[in-house]
Amino acid sequence: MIQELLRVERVNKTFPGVHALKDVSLKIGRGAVLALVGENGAGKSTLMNVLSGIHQKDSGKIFIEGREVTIHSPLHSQHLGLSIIHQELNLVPHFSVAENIFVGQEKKRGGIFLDRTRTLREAKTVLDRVGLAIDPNVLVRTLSIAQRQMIEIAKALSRNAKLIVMDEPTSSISGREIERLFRIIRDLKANDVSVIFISHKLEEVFAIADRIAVMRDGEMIGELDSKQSTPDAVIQMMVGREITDIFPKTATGTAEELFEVRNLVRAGQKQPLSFSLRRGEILGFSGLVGAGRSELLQAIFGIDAHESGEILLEGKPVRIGSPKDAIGLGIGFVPEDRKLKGLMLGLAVRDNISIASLDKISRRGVVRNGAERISVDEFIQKLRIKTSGRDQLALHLSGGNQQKVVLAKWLAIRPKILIVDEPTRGVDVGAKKEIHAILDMLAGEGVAIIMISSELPEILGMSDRIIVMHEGQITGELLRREATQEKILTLALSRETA
Amino acid sequence: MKSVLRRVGLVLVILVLSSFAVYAAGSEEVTIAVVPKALDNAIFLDAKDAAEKTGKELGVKILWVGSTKSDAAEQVSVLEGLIQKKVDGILVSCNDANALKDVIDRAMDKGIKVATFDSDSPDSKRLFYAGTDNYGIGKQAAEFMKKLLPRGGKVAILTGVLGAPNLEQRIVGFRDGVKGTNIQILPVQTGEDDVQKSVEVVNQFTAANKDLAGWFFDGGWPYFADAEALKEIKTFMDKGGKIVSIDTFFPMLKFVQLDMVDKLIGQNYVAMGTIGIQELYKAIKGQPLTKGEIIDTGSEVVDKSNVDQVLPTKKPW
Amino acid sequence: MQTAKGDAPVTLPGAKPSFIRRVRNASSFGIVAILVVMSAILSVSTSQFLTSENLLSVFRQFSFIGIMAIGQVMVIITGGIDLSVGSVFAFAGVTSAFAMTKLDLGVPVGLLVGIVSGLAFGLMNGLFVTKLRLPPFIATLGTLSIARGLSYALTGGFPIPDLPPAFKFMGQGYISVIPFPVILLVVLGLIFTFFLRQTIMGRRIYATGSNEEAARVSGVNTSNIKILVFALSGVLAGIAGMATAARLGVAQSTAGVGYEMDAIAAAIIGGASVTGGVGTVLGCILGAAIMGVLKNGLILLSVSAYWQQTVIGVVIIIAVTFDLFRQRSRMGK
Repeated sequence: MIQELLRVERVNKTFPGVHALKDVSLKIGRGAVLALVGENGAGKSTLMNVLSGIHQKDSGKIFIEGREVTIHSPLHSQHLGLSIIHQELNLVPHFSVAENIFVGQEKKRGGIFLDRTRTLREAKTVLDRVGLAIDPNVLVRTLSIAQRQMIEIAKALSRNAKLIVMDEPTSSISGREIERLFRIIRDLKANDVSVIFISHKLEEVFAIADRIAVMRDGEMIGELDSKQSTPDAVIQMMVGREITDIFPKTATGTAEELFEVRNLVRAGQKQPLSFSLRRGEILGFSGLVGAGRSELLQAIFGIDAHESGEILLEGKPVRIGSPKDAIGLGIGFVPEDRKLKGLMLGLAVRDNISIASLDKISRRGVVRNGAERISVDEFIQKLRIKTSGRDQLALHLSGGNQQKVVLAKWLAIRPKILIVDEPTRGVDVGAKKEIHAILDMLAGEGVAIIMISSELPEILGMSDRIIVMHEGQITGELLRREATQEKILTLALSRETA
Repeated sequence: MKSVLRRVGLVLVILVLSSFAVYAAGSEEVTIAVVPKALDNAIFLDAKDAAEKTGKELGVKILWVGSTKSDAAEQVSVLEGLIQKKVDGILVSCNDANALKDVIDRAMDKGIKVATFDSDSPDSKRLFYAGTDNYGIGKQAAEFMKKLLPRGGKVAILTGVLGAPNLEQRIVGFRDGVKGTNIQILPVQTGEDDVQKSVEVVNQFTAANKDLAGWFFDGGWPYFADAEALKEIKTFMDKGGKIVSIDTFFPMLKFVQLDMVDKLIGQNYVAMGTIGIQELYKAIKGQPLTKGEIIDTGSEVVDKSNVDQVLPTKKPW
Repeated sequence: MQTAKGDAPVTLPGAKPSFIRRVRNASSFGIVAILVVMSAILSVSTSQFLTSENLLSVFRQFSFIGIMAIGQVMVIITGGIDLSVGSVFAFAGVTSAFAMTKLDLGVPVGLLVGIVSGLAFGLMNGLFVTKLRLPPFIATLGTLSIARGLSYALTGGFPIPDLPPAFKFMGQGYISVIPFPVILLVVLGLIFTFFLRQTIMGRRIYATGSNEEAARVSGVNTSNIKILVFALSGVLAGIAGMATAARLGVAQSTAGVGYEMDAIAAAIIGGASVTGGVGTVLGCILGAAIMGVLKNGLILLSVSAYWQQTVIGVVIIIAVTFDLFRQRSRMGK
């Protein structure tokens, strides 16, 4: 039996203005787990898109089980045994779980009629395999991101994939769910299914992968055996330089109280929540996915309604009924899902950056082009946004750079308070460090930052104080010097307040 | 809370509306619905007045209903609504002969007496057609044009909504009338029953064809505009061009006086309304029809020689 | 901020592509090209096309649709659609005529009445869409009927003639050799091009259309923006309606039937996308021009009316497809 499952030889792919894949070669054996790491823009997604038939390679060869193939389309790719689970999940919200699993390969009776009984039965089988105890009739839009991810895996399994590519599978799940995912991957290994695991989280990569392939700027830099290497070595290959510390935190915050939330009750909730924020501090919000952190901050920012409670800014009560109100008070909000709530993808970088601060670059309602250009260029330089120009569509930027554009938008309002929800999700190590440095610098200038993050190292490394939530309640508050991963996790898992 | 209120409100509205409908349907008196091609087309208003007057005399209730635009499909829905309403009679000017055939037949099968006016649906089961002999007036227009252009020449035709049976018949009549002469008919142009479009088309076509000798308007739309809007027509006429137009509505007559049209051939909408209601009433009451299946309501000709006499007889718009 | 050594340099923004490139990339390039090609073909096929009288006549003819299309494109940019403009067109013509002739209120008042009529329906549309959350298609379908019905009710079906000469100038007058409606179109076109590109409101309109949720989070009052564009669409439809009544010398409740389709077609041909976020004033005026030139061409070539509709439909599809391909390659599909 052929041991090699997939071999990619010197594949190239160019897009207008970008040489995305430069002579990339890759090999993966049957039942192996290969991690693919690299900065955003390194070419990982492009490589996956070529393998899954979304894009056509310009040159090079691809071999599956020793046979050369040309992958024409996503459907063709699936038939060849390749299954890809994208970071942006491809589920139909209005369909049920079972329908989603079998979309495109529906169980039929007599060739035309949908066989609902079989669909449900087989859906249950696959769901059991991934350990997801969910009623297959439930509509996908009612499920959490973690659950949806499990369904994507179930979908891939139902297609009898030989190779499953998982693109940032742990970006929206934590703790127990990650363990479950790893268990599934090990199961797949045992069943001779190979896995390509794309992730920025090195501790996970080292935990689950046999080998680690590193890409940078469209090139395959090299491969490491996970047991014989260290995260630092990987990082070095990824960025081509030595990185000494990931969290360059210097500022420590002040004692001056800037912002206070008193007994805020979110619409449809019962629990009143209170906390305060000091000038120049970074307040981390930790907790498991679904703890209610984003919802709380969205209610504070005016995106969602709240039923009761007070918000005080600099000691004075303020009313925040809409994002416009919040912005007027000098509060900015970098949302969790930048594609949904953060960016206008069809518009240019400059439009995205200036949209929240138009009054600052206008006079009497008219935008001054010169002022806008200066302001936008300043942010592009300052945040090191990789773009072909301020008129490039936001659509064409890589994830990390898109996140920087969103950040730039909020920096442009010169905020007093900046709320960032998962600021480095889907962002490569280099950009991550830059974003952390920016947040640190802002804090040093007196901006108060509320940071929601599901990455414990990030929370521990960046926060002056940490508030932990669990199922809509604040279960505890920790100071930087006393916080540990264990203490946070305990608070995140339990209902009792510490 | 909000959604409950909305639903209650909806139910109330439906109740109120249906009670009206029940009330309307339950009347004992004879009801005849008159359905023009389009509700807001002023040319039918003479027929409306005449029908209502006749209705009053006979003790018949007249319903003036129709679609807001000249659309066959909408008109079919209107008739279906009238069938539901169980009116006694329908007098309709058809937007399209074939499209209306089925619904007219259905109405007749259900015992509703249907007749057409102004624009017929000859293959349907309608009892009679009261209107202009469209083929006839088309031919009449051709006769005039032959006299106006003894040496022949290029003549353009302006029509309205394509496929309207009365308009089509006029064109056929005109073509037959000029057969064998030196009059060459250019491809038909349409103003789609819209005054502005008609004006633009006529202006542009006239400007484009410098050797154009005459125009036949199978409906008077250009003349519903202002004289200033028709400067090209004036220039055309001044250079010796000839125009014959159908319809003799009030606003059109001044153009005869202004030398912007040679002959107007008008329809008798008053007769259509009067005779239409009278005959339908007979049919509803079970009396025999005396005027036959095709009732020609006649035409009138207006030109320089009689315009001053005709003008005062028309109701100003 | 710390800069590690050996970094890939950040691309300096603002390096301008060559002039030819910019012209080709300009979103209106495709439309202009089509217009030029069409005009070239017509100039060759008939000697009448390229005369100044014909061209000015064509200009004047499509200027009414063009004015309506400006309003329509703004609604489309926000992701909506306005089907009521044809009826509002008639309603404004009729109310202003009524005010001037039957109520003898004079031309300035007449103009004001027409504008307010358009504004009223625009606001109605905006409120239906934002407060009642009706889809724009449904809401404007409703106001289409209401406006048409009110026009009929006001006039009883009769046209309103004898409009004051000062008013008629708007439709029939000339400034030197250029028909006034054309000037009106150009002025309104310039105003709204500036509005969309250079003002805060204009930016917010594009933002709302591109991603309403993201715009809202960024502080844009998307409800107000939507009300604004519907209001502007109503006002512009009103202006176009009055200009047409002025052109004909009569106001009719039957005017403008189906014109909303022409306005929408002009906007789409001009590059607007029904999903929102894309579209320009210049584009929609060019779109109106293409349709106007096309119709004129068919008349000049003596094409029978029975074929004109078909040809117009085919050309519209070709124009939109051509432009769509260009857009797709621009987005780097």
